[in-house]
Amino acid sequence: MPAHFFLMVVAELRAIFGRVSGKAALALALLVGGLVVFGMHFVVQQAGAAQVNQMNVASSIDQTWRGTMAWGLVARNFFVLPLLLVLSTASTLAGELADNSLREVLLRPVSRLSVLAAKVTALSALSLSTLLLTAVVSALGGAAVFSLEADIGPVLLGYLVSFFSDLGLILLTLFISTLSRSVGGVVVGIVLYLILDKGVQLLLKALGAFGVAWAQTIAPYVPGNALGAWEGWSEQWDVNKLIGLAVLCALCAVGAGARFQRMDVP
Amino acid sequence: MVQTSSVEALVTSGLTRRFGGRTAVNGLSLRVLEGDIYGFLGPNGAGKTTAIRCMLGLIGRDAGTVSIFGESDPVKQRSFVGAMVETPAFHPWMTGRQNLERAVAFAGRGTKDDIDRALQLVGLWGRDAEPVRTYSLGMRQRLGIGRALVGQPKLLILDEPTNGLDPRGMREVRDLLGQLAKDTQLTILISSHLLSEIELLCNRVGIIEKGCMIAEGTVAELVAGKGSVVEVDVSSPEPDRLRASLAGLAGVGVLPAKDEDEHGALRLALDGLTVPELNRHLVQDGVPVSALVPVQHSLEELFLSLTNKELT
Repeated sequence: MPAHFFLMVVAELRAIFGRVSGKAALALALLVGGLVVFGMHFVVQQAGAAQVNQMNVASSIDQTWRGTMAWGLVARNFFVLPLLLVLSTASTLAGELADNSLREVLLRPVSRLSVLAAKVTALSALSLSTLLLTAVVSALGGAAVFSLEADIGPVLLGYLVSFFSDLGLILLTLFISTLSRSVGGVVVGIVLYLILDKGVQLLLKALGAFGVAWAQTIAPYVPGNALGAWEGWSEQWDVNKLIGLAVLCALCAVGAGARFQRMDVP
Repeated sequence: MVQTSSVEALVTSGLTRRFGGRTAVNGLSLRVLEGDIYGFLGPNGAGKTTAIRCMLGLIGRDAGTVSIFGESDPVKQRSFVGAMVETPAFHPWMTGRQNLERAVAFAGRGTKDDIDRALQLVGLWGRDAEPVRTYSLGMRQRLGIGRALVGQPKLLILDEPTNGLDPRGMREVRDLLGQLAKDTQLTILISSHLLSEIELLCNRVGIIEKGCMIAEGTVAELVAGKGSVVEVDVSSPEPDRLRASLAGLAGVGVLPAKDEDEHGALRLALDGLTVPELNRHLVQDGVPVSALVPVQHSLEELFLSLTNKELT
């Protein structure tokens, strides 16, 4: 059984990395790691002596491998790579439902839950690969261009939390895929969802500012906020965000599993 | 010659599936024996594909049971089955071989040799390293059949395997199915509109209409006629005398569809009367008979008479 599952995951990995979205995600992760090092080096060289808010620019930049890794993570998590992850996830379920290739898999002697689990595992591997690429390239670049004299523990923890944020995004996308059944529909669904989510966050913030206590209490658990749990790499970890992320992952996993188990596959 | 056993390969009982207020499959019961080449026939929209999807667990069912080689668990059932439902879908950027390797991975069994054998059987050996997006529709259809064959199935279910093909592609698939039936010991269920091919390939058929099974049996049983009624064409140079003689004979009816053609031939339905007895009667009555030919029905005629629809 574990061997069979491993074969399924490998087959899913071949499909995910064979798609343009998968290849683009890897390429972008690689590029981001390199560009951050280049960008930081450029700023330090060209504008390092400049003053901003009465501070020397160069002194405000963490010129160590920790700094390049940290900015690599920020750049990696900015919009495009998460969007590619959403596209990869949507293609692997909604896309396969739409072009009927999922039907061919479900004709095999495997349970639907194990098919879904294989997809989640393979997509997690995609997320992990992009994080590793960015981390390794930015770390090596930072070590080569700047210095190694820094503790990278908190940043590595930030990469780890980013992986769980990606997992939340993957599970959320899979859940929406079981409702929409088209890649375009899923992307639109995710965008609408995040806009709605942002609106709820702003509303809760406003209510909190007016002294509504419960709004302040639940704000960290709003899913969109939870997806941003990785921002805590700067040693200011918000445990509530991590709990929110765990709740989001659990709800989406259960929702996607229940829907996928029962849905008609044409 | 198809060798069947008494082992039930696929049995459905009271299979029912509704979409809103429409019942697509209505209490369908069918029985396919091990070794059968079973033709699953029905006009467009009769519910064949929906029934097959229910059997394979792709869609849920509202009522009824499905048993495959005695197994009722859907996942275990599929370990016996290789299937192609309608037009096969592939990952187009992958090669033909990679698509089969994907199928083997999810089947959890099968080897490189199985893939090689399937590719050779469907005539794609040598083209397997090309991306599927470069394949013609006929090649994709054959690759779909090849994919159904990997994973060592005992029961092959093919839904409209010639759907959307041009005459050449249809011929390719027809030849392939003929070869499969001849060379392998597989039990095969084929849903198709190609009645003449089904008649040649299959030993048993089931005909469905509006989701219900309206006839099931061996091809020979079904085309031989309904019950004890035998049809016969009788020609005479004196048709009036022939009619007069038949008028007084019990157990003979003149079929309206054939009535009397330009050669004075009548199509008769004999119920309880044999052809030699009819011949003896006409001779004793002094009716000159130029031809007396028992009618061999085709599956297509039977199909049309049962479904009362034009084939598409």
